[in-house]
Amino acid sequence: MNIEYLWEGLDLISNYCTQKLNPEQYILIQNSLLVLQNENRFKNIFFWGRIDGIEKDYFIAFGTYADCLGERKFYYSTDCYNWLMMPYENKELFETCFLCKEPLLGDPTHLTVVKLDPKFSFDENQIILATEPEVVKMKEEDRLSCLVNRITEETAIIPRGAIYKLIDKTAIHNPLFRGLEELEIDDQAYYCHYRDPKNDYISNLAKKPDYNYCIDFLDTIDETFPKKRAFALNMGFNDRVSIIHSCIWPGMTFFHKLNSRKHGFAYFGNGKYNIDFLFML
Amino acid sequence: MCEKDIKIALENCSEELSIVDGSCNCIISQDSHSSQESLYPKKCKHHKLLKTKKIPPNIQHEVNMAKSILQEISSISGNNLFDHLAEIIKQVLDNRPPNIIDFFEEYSRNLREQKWNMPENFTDVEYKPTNQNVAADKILASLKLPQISVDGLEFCEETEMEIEKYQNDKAAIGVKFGRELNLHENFLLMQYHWSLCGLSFHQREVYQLSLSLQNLQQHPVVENCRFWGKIFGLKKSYLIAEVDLTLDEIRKRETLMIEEINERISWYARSHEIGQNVSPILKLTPGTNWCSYPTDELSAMKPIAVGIPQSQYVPSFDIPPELIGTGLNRKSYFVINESTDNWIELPIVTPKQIDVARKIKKLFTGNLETEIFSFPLFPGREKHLLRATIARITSGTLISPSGYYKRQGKQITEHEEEEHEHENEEDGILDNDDIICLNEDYKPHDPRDLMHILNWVHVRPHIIPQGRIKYFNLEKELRDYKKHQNLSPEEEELEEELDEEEDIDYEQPAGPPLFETIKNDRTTENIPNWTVRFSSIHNQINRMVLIKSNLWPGSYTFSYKLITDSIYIGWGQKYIARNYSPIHLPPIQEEYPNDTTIHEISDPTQEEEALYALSKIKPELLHLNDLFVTEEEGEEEEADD
Repeated sequence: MNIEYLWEGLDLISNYCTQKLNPEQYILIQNSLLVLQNENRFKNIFFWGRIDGIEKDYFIAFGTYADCLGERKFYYSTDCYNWLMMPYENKELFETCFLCKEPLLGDPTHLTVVKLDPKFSFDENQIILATEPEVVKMKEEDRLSCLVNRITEETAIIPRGAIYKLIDKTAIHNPLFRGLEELEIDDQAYYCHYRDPKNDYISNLAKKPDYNYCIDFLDTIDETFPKKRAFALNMGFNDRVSIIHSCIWPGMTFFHKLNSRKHGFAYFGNGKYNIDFLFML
Repeated sequence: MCEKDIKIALENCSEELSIVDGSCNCIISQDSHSSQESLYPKKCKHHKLLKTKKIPPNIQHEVNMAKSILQEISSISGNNLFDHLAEIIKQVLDNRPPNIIDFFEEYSRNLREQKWNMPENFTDVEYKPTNQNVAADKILASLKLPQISVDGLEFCEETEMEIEKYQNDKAAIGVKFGRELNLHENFLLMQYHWSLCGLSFHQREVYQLSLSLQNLQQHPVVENCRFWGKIFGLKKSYLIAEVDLTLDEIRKRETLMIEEINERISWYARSHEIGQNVSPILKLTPGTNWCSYPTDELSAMKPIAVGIPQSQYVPSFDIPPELIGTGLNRKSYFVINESTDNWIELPIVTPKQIDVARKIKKLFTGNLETEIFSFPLFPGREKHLLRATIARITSGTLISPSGYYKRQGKQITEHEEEEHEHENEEDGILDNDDIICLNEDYKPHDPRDLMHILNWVHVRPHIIPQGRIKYFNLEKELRDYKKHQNLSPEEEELEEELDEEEDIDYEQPAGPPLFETIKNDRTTENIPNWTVRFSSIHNQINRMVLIKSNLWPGSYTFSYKLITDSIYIGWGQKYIARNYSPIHLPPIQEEYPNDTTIHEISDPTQEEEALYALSKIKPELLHLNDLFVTEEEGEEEEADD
């Protein structure tokens, strides 16, 4: 959520998520993030959300330079004002992070021991070899980074047209974005993933009859597996605000105001992937 | 030179445009041309220019020529480039958007779009009400505003009267229970505290909800209500209120329920007896030609195979729900989707529903009548599942600082409580289902003490594995029923003996008692059950203690001086460390018992049948038939191997 309208945004999603920020945390976060933006010369700085730990909670923010889809720098804090840079995502820890079932503790230096699943080799439907389950030690900081990157990748949302691709391929926040209209706002096809597109450029373009090369290059959220079920779209405040929940990462909430450029997402949760989602429908 | 002139001309035009809108073409031609050239018509074509003779280089002429090219009207949209460029320049100068060069194309496109969407381009025949209008009407209707008459505002005296009456009633109740009801159930006050903990709703929603709760409170059936929390759904969310029904209402429903339960027990007792009498009788093997035998011989014959298995009907009996006003059904729950809706009461919860709800994991949709597809099958619709979930969450997570509540009519002093428990042990009655009320002598704990979970206690009874709070002893109930049915003087003595035996049999599965500290909570997941935080770190004087359940994420309780409140805001899902594993399907039932007398033989193929037919016609080919039989045996042996 952009720090510019953080309070308004939090207020709008407050009906639809559990614990938000209390006034003290809000004041600390807003002002310390502005300082952080100044120090690092970010073009935009965003409050990302909170992941609950047992002893302490992690507050997370990220800043972007000119290219808002490219390099994002994530920061975390346990006290709302000392912001520490988050290590870059370690792709090797992906599986470990997924299998780790212990809750986050709140201490970034804590080492978690994770037993991976044994690996099996198959030959004609017969298991011929099973390896010993590998034991991996994982620092909580790395785990946090892995979680945050994954949640952002899978559930961060932006309305169609909010990101504009310049001629030199950098994507920037569209200053001419006027917000979605009444007919568009309750349709999942008008919301995109806030990440580098994974689908084919042409197929993304072809989804819209009135495609625009500069704004329709992103993946829309209705294509995410399970199709049209991965996100739940509700309308609130006299149908003036659309609220989108992620069902696969419960706690991720997105809002967008009708005919306004204001939109944003925030995550408030315990960082657990809802692997049982298909059972729950 | 030429470029400069064009620029000047365009600037002139933009200035003119801002003054006289619409007829720009005319102005431009008049302004930029000298008087002799103003004879060109409004929509000039450049071929007309060519006709007039000029000696090159003539800047005036070239500028005019360029302009007329730009002003050429498109045959598709009716616009021309000159106007469009002029419009863009005007907009850029007026609005001064930053970095306009980077999205010049987008800006230009937007402008054209706006022009196309100009209201004068369409004749609006019909006014369509917007979506927001519907919601606005609903909200206004729910507020019950005074009716507006021609003379001006006319206040509804009726509603004011009602409120006064209501206040009087409440005062009477307050006296009856010896405490002020409204303080601790004051929704707005609580929401203020929640907002300091970071758990509030939007201000507008809070206000509307408080009005809605007031409406509920004024209902004649409702004695007292409390905001319980919110459960999210895929399409809509549920706002839930916990309600104490009035005694009259409880009595009315109680009698109905008792009748129903008794009926069920009597049905079960009877069906049980019948079930024991039915026994499968073996007959001769089906298929043998037994009709030709006389009946005497038949009776002497032994069946050569096991008969067709009889269905063994086992009547199932669901444990009856607790009576309304006791146990899990002590409180009633009302839900709405939006604060403008009418409150809907949820049905009572049955032990079976609790049991199945523990085994399944389902998201709510927001529609109370949605069917639940699950394994094991959930007995009921979404409203029943919602009620069962509420019961589980309430029982597991409603806590308060120790000493905040007390059992009704009894002092909380330790000595007496011990005695009290002791008494109950003697009586053999589980005391979890006591009515509790606020303890007037409660002295607030120091916030630092409350940081230890030892000082927090459960205030709602534990649900035993049976899905009830009080154990329901089926055998005892059945015996009671039979006692009532065939009570004769001879049997009475026997019954008395039986009664003595019963007391020994009558054992209850032990659960934690009512005011058990939450430190003793046990769970199968490897997490600490509770997390305690201060609402503020830097404000050390006025801060609240906020405690949240990790087992039911979304369940919070705060304590500040004399005020304690609990709330649940979440998806209604219990924490599972790794993933949910649905219970296994039962093994497939056997169609027919396996027996040595039954052999499985593969059907003869078409060729074999043909061979057989041939052997009938030509007996000399019989040896072929033998061959076929031996082959078959060989196959069987192979199969056995």
